Amino acid sequence: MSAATQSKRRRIVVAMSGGVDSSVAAGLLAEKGHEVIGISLRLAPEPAPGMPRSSSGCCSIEDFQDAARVATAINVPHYVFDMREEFQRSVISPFVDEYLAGRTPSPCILCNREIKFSLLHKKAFELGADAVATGHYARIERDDAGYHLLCGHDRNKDQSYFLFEMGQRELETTLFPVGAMAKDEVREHAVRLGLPVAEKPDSQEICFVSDGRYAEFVRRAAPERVKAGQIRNENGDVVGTHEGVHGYTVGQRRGLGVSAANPLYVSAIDAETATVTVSERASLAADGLFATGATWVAGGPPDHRERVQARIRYRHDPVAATVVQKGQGTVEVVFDEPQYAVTPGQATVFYRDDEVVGGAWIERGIATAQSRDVLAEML
Amino acid sequence: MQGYFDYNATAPTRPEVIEAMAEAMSEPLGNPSSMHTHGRRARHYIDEAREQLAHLIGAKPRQMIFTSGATESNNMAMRGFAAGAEGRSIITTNIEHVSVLATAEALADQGTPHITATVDRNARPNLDEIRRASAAGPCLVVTAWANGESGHVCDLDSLTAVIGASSLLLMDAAQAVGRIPTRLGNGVDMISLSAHKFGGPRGIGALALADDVVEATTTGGGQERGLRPGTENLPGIVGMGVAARLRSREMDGESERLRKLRERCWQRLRGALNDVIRISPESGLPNTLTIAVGDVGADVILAGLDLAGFSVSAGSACAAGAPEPSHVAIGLGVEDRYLRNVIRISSGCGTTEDDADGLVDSLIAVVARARKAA
Repeated sequence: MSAATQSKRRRIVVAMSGGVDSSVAAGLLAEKGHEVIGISLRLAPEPAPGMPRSSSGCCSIEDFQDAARVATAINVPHYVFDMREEFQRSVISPFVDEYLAGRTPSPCILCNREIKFSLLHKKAFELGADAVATGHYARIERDDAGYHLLCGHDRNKDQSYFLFEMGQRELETTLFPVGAMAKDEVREHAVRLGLPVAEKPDSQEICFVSDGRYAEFVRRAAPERVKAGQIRNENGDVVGTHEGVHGYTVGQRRGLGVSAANPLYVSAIDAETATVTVSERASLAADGLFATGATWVAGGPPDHRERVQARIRYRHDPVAATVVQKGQGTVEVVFDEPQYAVTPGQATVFYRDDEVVGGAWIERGIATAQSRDVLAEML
Repeated sequence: MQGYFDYNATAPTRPEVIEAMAEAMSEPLGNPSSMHTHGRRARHYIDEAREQLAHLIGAKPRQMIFTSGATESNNMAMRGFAAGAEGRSIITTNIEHVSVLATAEALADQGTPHITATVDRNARPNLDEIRRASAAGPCLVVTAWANGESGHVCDLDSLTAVIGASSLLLMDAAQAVGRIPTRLGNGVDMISLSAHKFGGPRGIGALALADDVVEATTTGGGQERGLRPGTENLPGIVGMGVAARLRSREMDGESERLRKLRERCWQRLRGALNDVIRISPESGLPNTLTIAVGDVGADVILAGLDLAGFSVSAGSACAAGAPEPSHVAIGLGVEDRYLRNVIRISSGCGTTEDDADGLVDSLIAVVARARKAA
């Protein structure tokens, strides 16, 4: 016991996936003398017969056993909480619905909002904890204005995109012990702390789709809702057929089964008519986007004259943009440079330097004329 | 074991048992099948243990087949029954132990029909369903003598009254043996039991058979009347025998003591907590108090009590160890809002009044804290 005995020994719940990041998060907090309670969350359902088991996700029995071994190594209690029902309702079902609606969901954001920073927080407080720690690569800072959500220092691992829906209340009671570290540093700590997961590979896929075959997952989840249809070009000519719109995402090039002189990309998906539209790359450019469900980490939206950096998907290089609030939770974003493949269902997240300002859910891209109108209206 | 309230999961091994097992293991004993002094000595140990165990359940020593525990016993009986003449079926209730339900399902896949009788709120099976099914042809009725999650004890008279003459009754008595009177015969054709539930070692149990009613499903050297071939688990058998001897002697007094302790806990909990329901009945296992607290999950209560030094159990846990709604609570018709809040407090010979009071104090505090946070 060192620092914490001088400051304050806190009871902290650590969400332990069995991976190296959350293991080190737990180890570092325990090392500081805090009373750490490790909790692993049972989220994904049992894989259907014939489907592969998750190997390096965060929901296999092996992962829970890893978490338990880490907890034993750092001498903290460890529990597994069953949240499959809530996860099904608030993450998997919307994931399936979104794909079937011709959109491309971002389930990790929902899981953070509905499970990790909601249900797990509730359970943690019920257990007398005053904070929940996770292994996310993001930072939380506090000043007179309140709490700020910042990017992780390791730009390669930064997960702030998935956390944009956190508000002041969540930030106040959350800790990201490895958020300011580089991945290498985290692994070094794992070795130093003697954690049995130091060499474990990073998980990549969405945890409940262990083999990365999202379309197959959706088809198995709701076979009765899958509708085959046609692939058309921009002129409306039928150029191919498909087995269901859930197999496509805006901006997708591979696997279309359509031959053309120039490469073709999915430019639009209409679930209603089961139509996938393909175009050449130029048609995928959008000058802005329309998004709903906007939330702001620290108070309100940025001023419409301010340039923020906007991400339109997780691994997207942010683009300078202007955010115009159109109504309650509705925003239009105008990019300084056109962006390709604005994908309905993904989140757009706004940054001011290192800081997450907020974000919203993309409904559609908008073209130049429209976006000029948006700005003209405001100025 | 202070703070331990999970005797229905497993009971601490009795010191007398450990002593007897250590002695049996340190003696130069042979294989009980061998025709020499060392072998005969081993055989003697086993015979003695068989008598002690048989005595506990009113059976004859030769009616006892040693197994690794009730799961194996249930498998042996059910699979061995199904392997007999054509046209057999298996009847269970919907709140049996998973070793019964999973085996019945596996056999159903192989062509032995599985009929599931529903139970009412008091765990009484629908007797008409059982009567109808057992009249249709030779069937094996399998049910728990005492349900490990809810503590309900089977009303044997009403059950045996509806089972047809051509049918058999297997009582899964893992939770009942040594805690309440259990007897082979009088309509009970078979009994499954596990030693570790009544103070014996883990990995040993028995199937008691009134008659030769099941086919062998394992082949080997013919031990245990050919039903369970393989060299006997001598230390385990010795340990189980000693535990059985202790339980034969203590059971009545101990039951009464635990019953009083259980009621004391319940009265205190009911007085201190709003919105708490009792699932285990007064007439149930004397050591088992199964309750659900409104608005506080079993996960939070389990973890909270563990942090305070008390081990209890949720009604049921998944393979990963997480509490999940149990088929027993669902089968008993426990209201939805309590399904994920079911906790089971099960005590035993090491449980003292002080310990039980400490548990109740902690439980009240854990619930109060959780409700305050919500």
